[in-house]
Amino acid sequence: MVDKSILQEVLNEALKTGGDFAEIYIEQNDLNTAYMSDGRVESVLSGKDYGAGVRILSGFNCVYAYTNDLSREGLLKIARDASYALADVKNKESRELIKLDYTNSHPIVIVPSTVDISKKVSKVKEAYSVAKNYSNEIVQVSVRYIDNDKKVLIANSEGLLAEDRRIRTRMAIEAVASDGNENQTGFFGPGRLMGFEFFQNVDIEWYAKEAARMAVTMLHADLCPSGVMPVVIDNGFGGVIFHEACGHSLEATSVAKGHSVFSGKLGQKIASDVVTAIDDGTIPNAWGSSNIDDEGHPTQRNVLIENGILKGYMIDMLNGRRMNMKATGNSRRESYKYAPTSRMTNTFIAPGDKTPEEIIKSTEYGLYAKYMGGGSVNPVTGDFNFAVNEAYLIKDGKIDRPVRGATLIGKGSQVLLDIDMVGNNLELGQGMCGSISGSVPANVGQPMIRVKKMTVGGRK
Amino acid sequence: MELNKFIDELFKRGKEEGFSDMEVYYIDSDSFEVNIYNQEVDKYNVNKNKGLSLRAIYEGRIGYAYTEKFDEEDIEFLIKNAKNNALETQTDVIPEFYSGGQYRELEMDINVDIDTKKKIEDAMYMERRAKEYDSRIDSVNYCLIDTGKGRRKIVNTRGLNLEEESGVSVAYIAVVAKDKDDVKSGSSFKVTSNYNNIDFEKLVKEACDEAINSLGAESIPSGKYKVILRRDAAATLLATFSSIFSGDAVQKGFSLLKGKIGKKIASDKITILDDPFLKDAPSSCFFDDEGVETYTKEVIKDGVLKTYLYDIKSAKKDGVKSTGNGFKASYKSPVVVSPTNMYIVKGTLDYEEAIKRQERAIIITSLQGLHSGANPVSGDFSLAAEGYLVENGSITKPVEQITIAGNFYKLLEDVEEVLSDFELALPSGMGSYGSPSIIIKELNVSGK
Repeated sequence: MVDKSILQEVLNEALKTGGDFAEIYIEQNDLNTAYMSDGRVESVLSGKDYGAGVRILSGFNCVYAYTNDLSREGLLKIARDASYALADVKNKESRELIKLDYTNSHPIVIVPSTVDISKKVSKVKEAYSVAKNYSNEIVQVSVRYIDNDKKVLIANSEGLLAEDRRIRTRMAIEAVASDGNENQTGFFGPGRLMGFEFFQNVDIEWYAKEAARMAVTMLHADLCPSGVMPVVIDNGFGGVIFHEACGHSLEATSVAKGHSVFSGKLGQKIASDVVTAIDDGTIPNAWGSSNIDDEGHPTQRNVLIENGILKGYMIDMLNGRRMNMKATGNSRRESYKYAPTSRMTNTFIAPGDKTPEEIIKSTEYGLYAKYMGGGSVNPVTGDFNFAVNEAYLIKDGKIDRPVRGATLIGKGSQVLLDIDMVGNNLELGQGMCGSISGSVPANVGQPMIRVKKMTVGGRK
Repeated sequence: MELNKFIDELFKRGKEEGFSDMEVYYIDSDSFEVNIYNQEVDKYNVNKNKGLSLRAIYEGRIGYAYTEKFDEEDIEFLIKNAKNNALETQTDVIPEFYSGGQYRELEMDINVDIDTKKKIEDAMYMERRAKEYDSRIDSVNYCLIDTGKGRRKIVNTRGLNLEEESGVSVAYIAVVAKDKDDVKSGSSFKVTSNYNNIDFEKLVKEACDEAINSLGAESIPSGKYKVILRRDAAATLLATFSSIFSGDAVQKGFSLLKGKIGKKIASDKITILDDPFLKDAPSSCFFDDEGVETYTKEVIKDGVLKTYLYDIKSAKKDGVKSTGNGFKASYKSPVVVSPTNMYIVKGTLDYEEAIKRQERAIIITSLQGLHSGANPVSGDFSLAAEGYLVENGSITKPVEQITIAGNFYKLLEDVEEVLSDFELALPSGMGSYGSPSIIIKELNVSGK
């Protein structure tokens, strides 16, 4: 995207004032979206993001500057602007840039730019009518299609030069069921690191029906009871519990400065024996995968927790310096507008040996969370919360009537210890994860699990 | 290419291509941010950003395209994509761009041109003061100052050519308090158009007090409680449910307020304004992102719903005029309906006095999980919360690990009292939201 000699020049300029490391990140992102609701395709949008960010490190300090001006002068200017923040004059030279070679683990079959927008819109219309026609009680549907083709180049003063191309496609389907007085919604948002072949690999019709079924089911559900009880959380997006309750607290962003409840606990038991948790940015064509991270390091499979023992954190280069540990290929950013930091990729609880039937059967009374919504966490205290989109009561080892409006709360350090059963049906679910380096695509995942006690917030 | 030349060229090419009308939305911004950690500059950001989007009408339909690059080839990119995209959209109202109206002058007190050194010193001062505040303050996990300047410009082929400058300063501090194994966090912020309005001492006090006062917090038994929703928590709840007032949401059944204009939907005590001329608020503006003049309006007056908010398209559907509420999240996004500064008008009862009058109630100081545990389509919410228990007229203990649950439509009816302690909260989405503390008859609390 930019000549190697210019990159070298920019890195040298950035190091003139005492920085010990400089990095340039260049991005071009082509985006297409289509949105349909109320029976009509309301907006179709295309766009081009184009920018660069220069990062300079000096010890633990980080300077970042970005621009849309990718000319030699534009890039030198941000390198200079950034370097002004550091007062010393050391004039370190950047090493010669050597291109990183790797095999692409995420082949793309149909690049989105080769597909007419009308074909993409017809997929939106199909999903819309499947959801809308599911039941008379479905009064509204909205469907959003997104594809983006992001090319990145990363060069740093240690001689690294790496490029990656990430093509992602996603559909988000929301259905509203109403009886005239009350509304309930159902939602699914499947996505992959794929081009238009996404539609051959993912059964959109199933998701559209499921979103509608969820809305209708919840319309006829009772209010969820409140209190402390066992909670069975089903596979797939249910993994948001690990993501929120523990994952964020294992990111170096909160560990490095000692703010996380898991700081300094490597090798210690932080979860029950049945819990093994992994962050794996290498899964072929998965939503949260990429060949390299946004610092140019190849992504990895990192074991975070093994049989309850804390084995590792997710670490970026800068926080790695503070922790005196190596980066783990987890450094990510939304775009050139953000300096990268440690983030989750595809994070999941590994499968155990119980069948889902066994888990339900052994639960006398509790809540069965079939589909989870989103949530959030305070990484300092570990207090988390998330919504349950579709829930049922469990009575005498059987799934009983549906209940709505349930929220689960707790503390991350406690919930890990309270997981007493792990199923054998691992699945991943897609989401957008927001944190200090912006919003990035991330997979959550787990098999069915049981937490022996949790606070369930309902309206009854 | 120079901006005006780019726009001229774009409109010229668009006309040749057969667009009936075109509109350009342009943003540029300069921003600065510094983060302090342990009396050192931890992060330092200087950024320049610009972007332009084209909305164009082709065969009676609108297509969108945007770019961050301003070369000859980008004109072709915008034209080609806007045209292809227009052909795929479907509409029941003929789209129209605005040709201009009577604009009211916006008096803003903008001052963000502050010396970098001073901003760094101020941030360091804030961190130092927080560490000195109390021995239980263990660390400062965020301490930042951010300033930005921007320009927003709308030009269309109907003769509209509007421009507005903006400036915003943000100071934010988050602290951790520790007492043996008990760890609590607290934070505070100020968003203002004039940097000199930031009271660093006040921010430090608010953040530290919040963290220290919540040490020793416990859950409380589940049940129904009277709730004092503190002003900041009330504002975030209003922000989450503000989309129910959107004309577009009403038309599509995403809001339950259909047919409710002129009807009583809230307690007599509730009046809600959408006020784009609020001084010192970052969302104030004299024209919206479609170039329509903005104005102050009562959305709810003494409990009665007075109007929905409209952009040009949703207004046309209802046969009314746009209320100047068509906004874009950024140049990358299409126009949607959004409030400007939306807030609940304050009452007369003092916050301290209100606490004295409660026999048993909980004060909710913060709500979490609003993006997932609250559903504007149904009005249902079930949210993690923190606060204090009030017994016999005074605060007896801090409370954590509870949820409060209810329905927003019902909550509006159940407001017993609106207090006098109004404040604007952190901007959320495209608008800013504010509220005084409000007392709610009863909400369901789930605890231990």
